[in-house]
Formats: sequence, C-alpha cells, structure tokens
Amino acid sequence: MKLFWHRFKRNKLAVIGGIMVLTLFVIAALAPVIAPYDPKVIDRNQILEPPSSKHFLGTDDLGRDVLSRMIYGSKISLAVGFVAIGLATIIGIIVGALSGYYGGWVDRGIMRFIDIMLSIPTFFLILAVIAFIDPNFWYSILPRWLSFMLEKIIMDPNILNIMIVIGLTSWMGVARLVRAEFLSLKEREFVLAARALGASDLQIIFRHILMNSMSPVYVSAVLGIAGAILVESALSFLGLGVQPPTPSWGNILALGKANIEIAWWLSVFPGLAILITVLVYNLVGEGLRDAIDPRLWGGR
Amino acid sequence: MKELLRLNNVKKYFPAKSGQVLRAVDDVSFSVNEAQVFGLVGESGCGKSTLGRLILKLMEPTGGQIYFDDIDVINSNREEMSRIRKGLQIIFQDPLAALNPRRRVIDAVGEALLINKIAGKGELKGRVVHLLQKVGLDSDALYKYPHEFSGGQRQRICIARAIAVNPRLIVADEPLSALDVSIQAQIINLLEDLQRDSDLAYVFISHNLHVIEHFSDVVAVMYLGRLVEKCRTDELFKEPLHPYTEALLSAVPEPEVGKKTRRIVLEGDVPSPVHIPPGCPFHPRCHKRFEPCDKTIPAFREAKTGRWVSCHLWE
Repeated sequence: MKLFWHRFKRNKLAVIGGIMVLTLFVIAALAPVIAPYDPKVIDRNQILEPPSSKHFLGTDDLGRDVLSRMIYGSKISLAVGFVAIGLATIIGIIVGALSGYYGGWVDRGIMRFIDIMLSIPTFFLILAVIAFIDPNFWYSILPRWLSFMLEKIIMDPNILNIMIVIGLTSWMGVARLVRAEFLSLKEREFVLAARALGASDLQIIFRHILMNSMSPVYVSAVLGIAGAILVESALSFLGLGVQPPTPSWGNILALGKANIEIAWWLSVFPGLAILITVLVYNLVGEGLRDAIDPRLWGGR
Repeated sequence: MKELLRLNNVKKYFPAKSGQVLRAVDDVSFSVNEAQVFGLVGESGCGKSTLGRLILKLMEPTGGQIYFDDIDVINSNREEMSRIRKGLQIIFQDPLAALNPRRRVIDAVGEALLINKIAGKGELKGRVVHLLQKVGLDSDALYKYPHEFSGGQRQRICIARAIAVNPRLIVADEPLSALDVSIQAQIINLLEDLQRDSDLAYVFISHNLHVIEHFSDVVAVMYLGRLVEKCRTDELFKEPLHPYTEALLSAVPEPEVGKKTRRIVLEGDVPSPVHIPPGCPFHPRCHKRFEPCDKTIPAFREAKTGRWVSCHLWE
C-alpha cells in the first residue's frame, strides 16, 4: 500500500487528475450551494447572453444560467458514470468468477456469449434498447423498496434507464479480466491449501481468489467511468438520454448545436467539461494501473 | 502398525498438444503406516508433486484407487470427505505462495479451525496462539501478513495451519527446498518433534537424499511417473538395487574430504513424460541395460524380502 502511494505520487499527471476528480465530486455534491442561479428558472430578459460578470458562462435560449446548469449537470454525469460502472463491475465479477473458477462448458458458454456481446456495436444497442424500453420498466421489475429508494435519489426514470442500459452493455471487459485472474489464481498453492482444509467453493472464490484479483478491476472501473460519462453525454446530445428541463452536459451541448452561430458559449463550455472529465478519469485510471503493478500490463 | 494410506495403481494423465498424453503418474501403488515417514524421491518433473496432490484429492486421478483410513478418497461422499480433510493435510514447497497475501496469520490458521468446526469464534485466538507456540512462533505474529515474515517463519505458519486440524498424515511437498540450509535443519527438527508428539505420518516428497536418509523410515524412488524402487531407508542407502537409484546415490556429494566415490554419470536428459520410451522407461539412460529392456516394462515386484524394484535385472 505504501509502495502503491509512492508510485502513484510519482506520476504527476495522475495526481493532478485525482485532484480534479475530487473537485468534480465536491462541485456535484455542493451544487445547490455553489450554483449562482436555479438551473430551471427561465428569464425572458436574459436570452442568449454572452459570458459576463453576471452570468459567467452566459445564458441559453431560455435565459437559464449555463454555469448553474453545468454544475447541476455534473451531478448527473457522475451519478450515471458511477452507477452504470458499478452495475457493470458487479455483473462482470460474477460472470468472470463463474467462468474462471468452474471452467469447462460453463466457461466456454460464457466466453461465447461475451464474444457475441462484444460483436454488437454497443452504442447502437443502447440506442435500440432505450428507444424500445419504457423508462418506468425498471421500476416495475425491481423490488418495491429498491425502486422506491431509486425514485427518491434519482428522480428521473430516464436517467435510471440510461444507467442500467450502460451497465448491462459494458461488463464484458471486467468479466474477461476477472476470468483471467481466476484462471491463474485458482491453481496457486494457497488456494489448494484452502481446498485441502475443506473450504467451500464460495469461501475460496470470495475469500481467497477475489480478494487477490481486484486490482485490475479497480483500474478498469475507473477507466470505464470515463467511457460511461461519454456515452451518457452522447445519448443526451441525441435527445435520447437525460430529458430537458433536467440539465446534463449532453443536452446543453445539443442546445448549443442549434445556436452555434450566435452563441458559442453554449457549445464550448459543456464540451470542455466533458473533455476534461473524461481526460482526468483516464489519467487517474492509468496512474492507478501503473502504480498497482507495473509488470501486470506489459511495462507500459 | 496399522495401514493409514494405500494407493492402488494410481494414474494421472494430462491431455497434451495434438491428442498426445502426458503421463505424470503411472501405475503407482504403495502404502503408508501410522506414524511412518514415507520418503518419495525423484528428479524434478517425475510426478512427485502431482502424486501428492492426488492423495489429497486436489486433482482427480485418471485411474486407480486411494484409500485413507479405509475411506475411498476418490469416491468419497461429503461426510467422508470432511473426515479425510481432518486427517490428511499438505505442506507446500514455497510457503509464500501457499499463504494468501491478503490474510493475516490469525485468519489463515483460524480458517482451518473454523471450517472444520474445531473452534468457535470466541476461543479462536487462544487456539491459534497455542498452534503458533507449537511451531515456535510467538503471539505477535497473529496480526501480521505473510510478507512480514522470513521464509522459515512462513513455513512454520503453513505447518501450524496444517496441524490445526490434528491430522494423522501430512503430505510434505518439498517443504525445505525454498529455504536456506540453516533454516532447513530447524524445519526438519520441527517436523520430527511434531511426529513424535502426535504420532503423525508423513509422505515426505524431496529430492534431497541426505534429508530423506535422515528423516524417513521407508523410501520410494520415482522415475517418469513410476516407482522404480521401494524399501526401508537404511537398506536402500546400503545397497541400491535399481540402476537409477544407484546413479542417484552416487551423485550425492560426500561430506568427507578425499573419500573416493564411484560416480555413475547418466547419459542424456530425462525424456519428456509425453514421449515415454517403450519398455523400461529408464532404459535409454541405463548403464546396465540388456536384451529385454527396450521391449517390455518390468513389473514392480519384491526382489528380496521387503525390497520392491522394477527392473529386468531382478526378474
């Protein structure tokens, strides 16, 4: 752990990335406190104002403050990234563990299924699923207490829909990583020793193998968050993601496209926000990867 | 002496490239009595470790039977298996690889007690401390991780874990070869003490003939997955019957300066276990080969009283 910190700290870009990620978290958490205006309040006298001391990043075509909308939008982006990748990671770990631990026909079946999933262009799959699934569908199949909780936290059924769909289409990489770790770890002597002591399959999987195969999973999760944020923005940009008036970086950008000749600030600032967020997550992910075990990834 | 472990014609074949078969263990039969040290020697890659793992059912054998305390190990049910787990344990060659790097000593040793319901959560700490004392470690070790110990201490932890269930037989798979020479002596003394105190039996796998001579009651020599010779240790070292054993013993360095030894140098390398030579597997390298050696496999038979050998010279 000490060595890990030492190696991580040596990577300046990763440290900067880490600080930026934390900053984004603080901004998202304190959105109601630091946003100068209500993001949904329409002001007909302030339509498409350029950046000024009153509106730092200008206003949109309904006179709403872009900075405030972006601050609230960061909440959505982070939430979508974390929940979607959390779901993908859990699915990936379970599938990969089953595949790697049991081997044989279970493994062959799962790997073929992963190949099929990977051969489908994910983005179009997501588009198709979102177009066909009623956003309230998830609330109807989830247990009542869970859907009640989700409704309280996430509010918009659309956003939950996006989170779940992204999660269900991005677990394959994690599953492959976990499978590879399981394949090599299950023959290790400490696992054999546990079997000789009579440990059950579940005890061996969770206590002995999974504990030692998490490092690449953390890395892939951090990198995956960047991808999920990008997908969410793209969907919202196309009008299939977060629906206005709820702000998201993607749908602000879509408004910007409509007004790009007269209001550059509507496109540039959310675009930059997406770019920087994805970049810092990638920096942190790569820093983690190198710090965890340089040998693991072919000495990059 | 009661028979504790019995192997009948145990085989383990692995599938190799393009439909070939790797014969790691072929037709091995022997038995180990209570409180007996059964030494198993052979070059690396001759199937010693595979055999050790087969005994504990860490792998499924391709053929043959294994009985532990009259329980059929291979076809055992759940309840029988849990009895086997309590009676039969293993110590590995590399103690660092044999300990989960993310679990503390109390977790590793305590797991043995909890799984087999020997101790409950409340008395766990006391029991683990007691076990650690038995192997010569003190209680500060409890909350440390494996990487904080030296090689010898790690092997002691592995031994503590193995004896936690009060086994009657321990398969020791080259427990000394990853350790410094000075530490090897300590560990072998520890294994001897444990044997005296609780009538343990060992299947002691090693390629160090000095250790085998010192420690074991009976020795079996393995070559390419088969036993070539088996008898009491003193007899084997006095008068080896199989030419391979002879060559092995002649290769042991003599501690006395100036003492003349006749060294038998084997030609060539050990053949791959995928392409085992026809007839006696040892014949291409044997300095005493003659007519039938490349045609028929010699049977493993009792050539003199108590002396089992598989060689055409003794048919």
